[in-house]
Amino acid sequence: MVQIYKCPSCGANMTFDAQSQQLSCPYCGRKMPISEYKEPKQKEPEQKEPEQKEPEQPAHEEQAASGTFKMFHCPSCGAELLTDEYTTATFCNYCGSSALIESRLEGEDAPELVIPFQITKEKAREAYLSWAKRGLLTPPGFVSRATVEKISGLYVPFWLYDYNVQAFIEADCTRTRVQRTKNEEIIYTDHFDVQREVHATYEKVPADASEKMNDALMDKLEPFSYDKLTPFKMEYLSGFFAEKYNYTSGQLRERADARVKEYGARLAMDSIRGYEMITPVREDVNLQLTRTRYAMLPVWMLNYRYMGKDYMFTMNGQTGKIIGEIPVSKGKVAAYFVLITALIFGLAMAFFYFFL
Amino acid sequence: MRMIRRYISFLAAVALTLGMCCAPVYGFYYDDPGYDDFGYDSYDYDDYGYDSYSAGSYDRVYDMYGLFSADERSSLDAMCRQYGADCGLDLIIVTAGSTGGKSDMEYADDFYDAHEFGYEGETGVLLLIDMGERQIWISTAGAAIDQFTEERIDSLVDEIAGELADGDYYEGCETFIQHSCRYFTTEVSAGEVRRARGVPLGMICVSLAAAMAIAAGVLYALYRSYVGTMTADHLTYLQENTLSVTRSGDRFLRTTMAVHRLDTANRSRPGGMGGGPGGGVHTSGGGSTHGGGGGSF
Repeated sequence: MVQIYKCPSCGANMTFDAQSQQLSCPYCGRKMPISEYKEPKQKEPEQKEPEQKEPEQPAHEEQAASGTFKMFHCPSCGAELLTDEYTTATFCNYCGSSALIESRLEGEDAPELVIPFQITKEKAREAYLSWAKRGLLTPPGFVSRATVEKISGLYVPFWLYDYNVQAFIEADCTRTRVQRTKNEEIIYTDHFDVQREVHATYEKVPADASEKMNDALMDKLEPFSYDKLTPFKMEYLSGFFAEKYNYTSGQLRERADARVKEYGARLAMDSIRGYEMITPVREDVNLQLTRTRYAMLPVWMLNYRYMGKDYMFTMNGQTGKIIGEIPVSKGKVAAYFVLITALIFGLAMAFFYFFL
Repeated sequence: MRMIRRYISFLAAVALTLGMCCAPVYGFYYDDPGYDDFGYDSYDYDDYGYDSYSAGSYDRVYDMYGLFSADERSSLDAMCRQYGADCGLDLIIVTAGSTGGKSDMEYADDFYDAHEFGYEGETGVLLLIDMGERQIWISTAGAAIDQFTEERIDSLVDEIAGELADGDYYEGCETFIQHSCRYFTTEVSAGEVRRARGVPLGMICVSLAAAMAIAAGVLYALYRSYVGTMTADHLTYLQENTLSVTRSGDRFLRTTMAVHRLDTANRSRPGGMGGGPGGGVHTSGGGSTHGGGGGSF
């Protein structure tokens, strides 16, 4: 039901360590590859088994009852876990154990793929601090005054789409040639009707399936490097937050389709070479969706507050690419604008004065 | 406290930079005070007799058009020698009905070079009165180039043309001789600028606009580097070796023509510098450097 990974040596909660790419115990330091983890044998008396079965049924009923928040219990300390409908991994508020809600990660809801975190929490925090410290455009005192709340690692649910694409373009293209005589210059413009059709395959075009995460922001965090994409195992989620998809692959299909159609049109346009001016007349792109896969992709996130406003800092948990919001100091921007303008203008005037 | 000091030094840097680039701008637009301020006293000549200082026995007046009587010609000639000797400037007057296809500037420069006029090598000023086009051209050479700034040449041209337009050709030449000497012997003040170095107003506006555009661009790029940009494009998720062109057709439709007439007269002179129709400092066909300007009457 709710899964917690226990260290076989000391019984503490094991979490996934990005540095070693293994399950790691923060207390005794024991590390083990995910594939080796085995559930410790239950020494419970048999009477408890019927009890264990009962909570499972309400878990399935939860899907039918809309808007209900399911109550789970932490296997470590028994406290109530606070979750919403989509949470698949969270932390116990009382003992801090990383708890994974198995029932939302299995069967139809099981993710196929995951990219494990490559960036550790310390590195993410350091990156945040050096990013915030840069201070060129931010108001003075920003770094010291912005309150840093906890940096959290979370797995964002994504649908990955594979397509076969056929893109067709028809365009008016021109080429010029010049002829010069003693008194005249004649420019000849040749007009052509050009057609091209290209075929291509796109794989794993991502669309974020989480309602909470801003789509534009998720897009900017791309691209994830798919060579680190690996079959899903729940162990990867230990130590992080995670969510189940809010939207099905069908619901997001339109967004992915639109994106790939644009890409296809661009490929067709790019295939036209050797002309000076290209004016599209007709574009037609056909897509065949060949596969959709459900994947969990890693993101470091930090919310901070400055002067009463909330800002978000996010980092691609695999590549380290930073997408963030900063408060911009209008004063600094204005001052830099004037300074740079004056500098360049002064240089130009000096150049004219001395060299022309 | 530290913050305030940083701001003050920052603003000081801005002010300094602005001041630095304002100085040349201001200099370009300093108005010439006009010859009235120079004082009339020293050059009061009533008799135009020959002077022992008149070095060189060549003519100073070449009246090919026949504007002047013989007496007028010799008067002007003497005046040119007298004034010229006094201020160290060779003064030449040329009148012509036509310049034979050359521009006034070319004609005047070539005339000057061909006759090898000039004190201490080259220093001199030549006035060409083109009666066919009703235009005048003043050509400077040697040290006279620097002394005759854009403003001074403009003033001189206006003064002379004014008299010529009234038919006072003799007076116009007198004006040329007297004022040329004055301009030549007066220090070029710090505010005045030699014609060749003037920056037209248009360039100043363009430079300012370009500077602002660059500043805006730099700041925008800086902001984007902070905040992050979209980097996935049409190639990111394209599978290698799956792109192929399956159909391709280029069909010729038609050819259109555009004819431009080339205007030979407008082609720029080799080695030309400076802006505006006046000509500025340039190298003539013979290879020597002249300054100058002109106008119509």
